[in-house]
Amino acid sequence: MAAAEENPSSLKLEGPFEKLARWDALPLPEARDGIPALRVERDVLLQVVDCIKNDPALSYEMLSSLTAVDEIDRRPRFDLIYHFWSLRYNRLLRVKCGVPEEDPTCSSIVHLYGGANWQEREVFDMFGVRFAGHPDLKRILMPEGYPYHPLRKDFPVEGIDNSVSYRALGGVLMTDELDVDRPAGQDRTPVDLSQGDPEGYSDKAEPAGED
Amino acid sequence: MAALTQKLVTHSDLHADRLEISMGPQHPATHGVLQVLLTLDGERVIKAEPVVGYLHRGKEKHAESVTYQQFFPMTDRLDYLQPLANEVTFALAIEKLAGIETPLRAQAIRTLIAEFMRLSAHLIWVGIGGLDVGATSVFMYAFREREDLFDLLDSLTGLRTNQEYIRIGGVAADLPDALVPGLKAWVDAFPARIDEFEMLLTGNRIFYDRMKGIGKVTPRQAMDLGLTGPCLRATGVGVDLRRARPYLLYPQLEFDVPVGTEGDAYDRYLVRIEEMRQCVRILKQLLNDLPAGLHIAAELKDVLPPKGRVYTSMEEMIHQFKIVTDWHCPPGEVYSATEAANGELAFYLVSRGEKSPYRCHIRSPSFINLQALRPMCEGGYFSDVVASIASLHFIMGETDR
Repeated sequence: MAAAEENPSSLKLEGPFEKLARWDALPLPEARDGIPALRVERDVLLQVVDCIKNDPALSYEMLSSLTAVDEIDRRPRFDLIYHFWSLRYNRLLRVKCGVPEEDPTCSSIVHLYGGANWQEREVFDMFGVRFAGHPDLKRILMPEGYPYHPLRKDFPVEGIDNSVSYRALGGVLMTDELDVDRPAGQDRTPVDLSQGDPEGYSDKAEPAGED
Repeated sequence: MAALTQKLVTHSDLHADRLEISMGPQHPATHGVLQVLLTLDGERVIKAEPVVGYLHRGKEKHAESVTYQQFFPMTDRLDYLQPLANEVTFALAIEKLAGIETPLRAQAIRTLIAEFMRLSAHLIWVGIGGLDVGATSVFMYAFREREDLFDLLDSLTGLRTNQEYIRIGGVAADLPDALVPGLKAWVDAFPARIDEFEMLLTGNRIFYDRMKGIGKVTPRQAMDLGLTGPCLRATGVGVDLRRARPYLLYPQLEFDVPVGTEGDAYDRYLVRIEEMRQCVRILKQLLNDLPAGLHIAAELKDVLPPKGRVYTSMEEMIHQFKIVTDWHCPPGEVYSATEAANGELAFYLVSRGEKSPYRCHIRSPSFINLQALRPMCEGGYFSDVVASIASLHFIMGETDR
């Protein structure tokens, strides 16, 4: 899909978007929803977003949505997807920005759009993309100390060894409810993981079991 | 005696330090499992930090492993006060992505349902919002109306709530003609009920004092935070997606978009009350002029055939089987939004031509609106935190997803 999307040679920036040519913004082919879309390099994202917001001919006052997509078979691996909304012209704009797996960072736009605060935290929580300049970048939906980023494509939908996060929190685990790989025959007794691993709960046994 | 007085906490001790309070996650006024970490200086709120995630169920991850049809029941449980409005939004996104046209009657039924859902959500808001600031009786009045509405929806969909009634391409079953008089009677009687709510709240001195001037948001702040829905309109920005990005039958319907002037809790209340009156206007137009035709598109390759025909016709049987087990959405991406009771509810879907979405992002209005709680509460009194929470109105099922 990624390959089919990137054929911008025939497309040109038009109308008010021409200004964005300074930063080599690439127009993308029209999607089903008819929202104009641009691809922007992450080192100029801040300048482009500033222009999108403050230029009177563009005037995208609101950030409708900020999320990410894990294109696991592509480089760069992650795409940040911004949807901006201009109330003045009643238009939407989609901006995509690639972020590589090796250095998953991007500039924060919280100083331009306050609403980006929680959405950037969510992208960090779910995909592990860090936002430089964010005032308080921490997990938002998953508990603090949780070791994974669940919306990455290599994270299984059934979860990974739930006990890890609970141990990190010094918590007590109900074996029957939480650990899918519990040893057979164990009943619903609380296991206090702060006192070391009980039998059959070793972390080291986990990868072998999954293979 | 002297030793005893030294151990007592004096008034000046209390004022010397800032007090940190964790409000929630188990607090009756936080509408679910919201935690607010409050820093107080006496009665003044210095800092209010909402903590969310207690109801996170990984819906977006889940969507990537089930088929499009299988995700409909999950959308019901986003904003559980308006389950069918979530389903309509999800269906519209898929239909846009797959290029499926829906018949006029299906669109009319969906519009009707979406407006009933708005009323159902606003009724809860009036009831619980009133209760939060001490107006106990309006709760009973609002729930009485909601129960009657649920009885009607029960006759239409088979369930009181979490109905799972919307299908890709239309709705599961046609709206029976016999039900129309009942719906009309409810709609006709409803303006008098709104008057009752207003009698109990609008001019109520206690309610007015609790809400007026509380949790103010300026238009600039609202746009910066991405506020949508009644909370944005209460600041005076008259943006409604039913007008700005029309969908379903809204372009043909007459209704006004109420706006506030102050952006305070009282305006948010007034905007919602007026929205209920506009809902009644829309519903009357729809019920008086329901278009005839099919309730679900007759596109056998993409749309589930009506159940009755599945049992009697070979062709429909085969297509039913094919669609349920092996329907692939064409590749592409779509961002599709509707005006839900709390604001802009949108789905961003990325399809790679597979049975399940490659990515399904839910732009939930509650999640983004909840960020406004901080500016609303900070600088105000501790007792007004509940009024701000009540007037902002968010659903934790939708916030945490």
